[in-house]
Amino acid sequence: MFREARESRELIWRLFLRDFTARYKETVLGLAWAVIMPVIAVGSFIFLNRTGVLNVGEVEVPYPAYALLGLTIWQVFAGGLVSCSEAIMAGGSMVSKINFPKESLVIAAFGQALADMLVRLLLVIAVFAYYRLMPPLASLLFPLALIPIMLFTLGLGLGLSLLNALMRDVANIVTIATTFLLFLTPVLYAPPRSGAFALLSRYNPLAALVTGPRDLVLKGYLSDPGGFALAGVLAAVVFILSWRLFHLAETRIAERIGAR
Amino acid sequence: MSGDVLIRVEGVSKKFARSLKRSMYYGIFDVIRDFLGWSSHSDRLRPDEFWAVRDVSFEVRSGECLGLIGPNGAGKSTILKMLNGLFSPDRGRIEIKGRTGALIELGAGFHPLLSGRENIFINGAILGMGRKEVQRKFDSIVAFSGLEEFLDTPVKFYSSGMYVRLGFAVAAHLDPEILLLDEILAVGDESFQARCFNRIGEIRESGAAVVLVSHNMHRIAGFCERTAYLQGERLRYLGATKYAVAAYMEDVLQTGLDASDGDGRDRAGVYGSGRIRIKEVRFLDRLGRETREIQSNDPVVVRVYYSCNEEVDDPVLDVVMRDSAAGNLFQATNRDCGLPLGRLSGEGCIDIELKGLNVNNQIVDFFFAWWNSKHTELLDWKRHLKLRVVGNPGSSGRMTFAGEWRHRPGPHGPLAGKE
Repeated sequence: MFREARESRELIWRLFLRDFTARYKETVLGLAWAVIMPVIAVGSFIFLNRTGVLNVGEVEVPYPAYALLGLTIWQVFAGGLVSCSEAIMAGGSMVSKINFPKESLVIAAFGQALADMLVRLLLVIAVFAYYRLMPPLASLLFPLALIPIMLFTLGLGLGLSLLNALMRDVANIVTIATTFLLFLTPVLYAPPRSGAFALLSRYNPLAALVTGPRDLVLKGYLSDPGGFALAGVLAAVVFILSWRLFHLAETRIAERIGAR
Repeated sequence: MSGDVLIRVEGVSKKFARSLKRSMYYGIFDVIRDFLGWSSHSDRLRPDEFWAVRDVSFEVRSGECLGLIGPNGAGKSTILKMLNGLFSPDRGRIEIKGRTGALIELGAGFHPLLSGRENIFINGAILGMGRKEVQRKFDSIVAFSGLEEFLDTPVKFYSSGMYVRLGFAVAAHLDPEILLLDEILAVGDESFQARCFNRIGEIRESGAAVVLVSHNMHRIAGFCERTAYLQGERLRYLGATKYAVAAYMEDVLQTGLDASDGDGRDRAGVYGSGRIRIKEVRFLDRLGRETREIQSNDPVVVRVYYSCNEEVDDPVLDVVMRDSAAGNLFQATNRDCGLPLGRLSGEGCIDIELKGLNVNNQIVDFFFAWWNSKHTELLDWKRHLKLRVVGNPGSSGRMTFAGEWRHRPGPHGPLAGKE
């Protein structure tokens, strides 16, 4: 399993490059598309907040910086999960005709979400600079703090990509579910301190996974290290189980996808 | 031909589900069972399942080419996919030693927007070549494809021929120890096809074990020392290609005969106006015995018995011969062949003497029709009378010739054309 993963490094990279270059090849705006989505989302939240329709709560930094950073982390999960779950079906006939490690397709698809994140981080840096915010030294650990959410996404993505090969419903469900989860997770609003919503975000692993890296950048420490650690362990377990499942299932799935 | 065993297949079976929904559910169940460590490779068929391959065993050694023949649905492609690791057998074991290359699905993973150059690397990676390996072989791949000028053009602007040429060029440079071929893919124009053949030859020469699926018996006979004949999901015969092909041809011709009513007599219903009836048609061999089977180029007499219910002026007997591909081999009337009949009454027969039927391994389907003189009234017809013609089992094609081949060594004089 691990040997196969190492050997398919080249393949993953090629598939990633292929999709990445192809994705923006026939567009005029190109990479800018990666930042347009969060800008619009955050923009509409600023609008709703200003007009008083919605209360995003108290945050320690200017709201646009807070929301953009949160959304950038969130999209590793949401964007990653959507592209992962579609990865195998998008592979087309090569999935059923050629024998290669199929997780390469999923990992390469996840790479797209990471690439988007890097582009968005540039935007985040620009916004931080605009507000003259200096992130603390601990934010250098930001990439490490992203690992749990990456594992969690990739784990779910591996499983869902297989399920999606059997039932196309999955891709639709994922798209709806990620949108819905965005509102259940303190990404565009401050973590609630009391009430049922606070309880919910306590037991929502995604809340911890998003809050952790964001805390590092905004505060320089983890506000809930225990919760983050727990969510991290959960993410690792999900990843390992899912990877194992993927390995057992991939030939079966190729069979069911069929010959043509 | 006594190299190492590179492919060993032992008692392999594979089942599939007929319906899409069931296939989905079984797939999910099987995955869950695998995950929990329960055996799901049950010997029983669940509802709506069938065996696609049943209890097949064979070995292929280094440097050997094994043919797989059989009618459609006999499990040939399923076996190839199992050898390729795409399917896992439900029962039995498959051992593969070495890098497996399959010349199927050329140009997998090509992205239409990317250039030929980029796609060579992508396709190479999918087929299992590292970056260094592709770089090392890059020039050779490009030269093979003959697409030097178009390397930086997105493949979506390639013609379909260029596309498969590039795909073949990459796949052909995999240097596999085991080569799987589903029909020999000779793509592109003549000169490219020649390169394809030679490339496959080189891979064989290098000691690869080759498995070839084909419907072309000639090609099988030319490429393979041993052949496995599959029929009804089971292995019918495994051994010398000559015998495997003969067994297959035997069955093909037999099913051809069984599939129809054969002698045509059962179709004795009344057709046409009935002023003349075709009573019976017989095929007679050189000794005048009735027969249903002859060798290619053997003489045969087709005797058409008629009886007239009334006098008919100058009727026309129309004869059609077709082969299994439903192509007309021959069609003519008694007039075309110089036998005007004049006024016909009573009973009699028309003999059509074929001095040698130049048909190769075919079931020839005969059709007879009586028409009035002006071809405006159908009097009677009889269809699907079958005569089996057995030819040279090593040859393919629909036609054959009486004659022999000779070899005359020695210098030849000046020849016309370029030297």
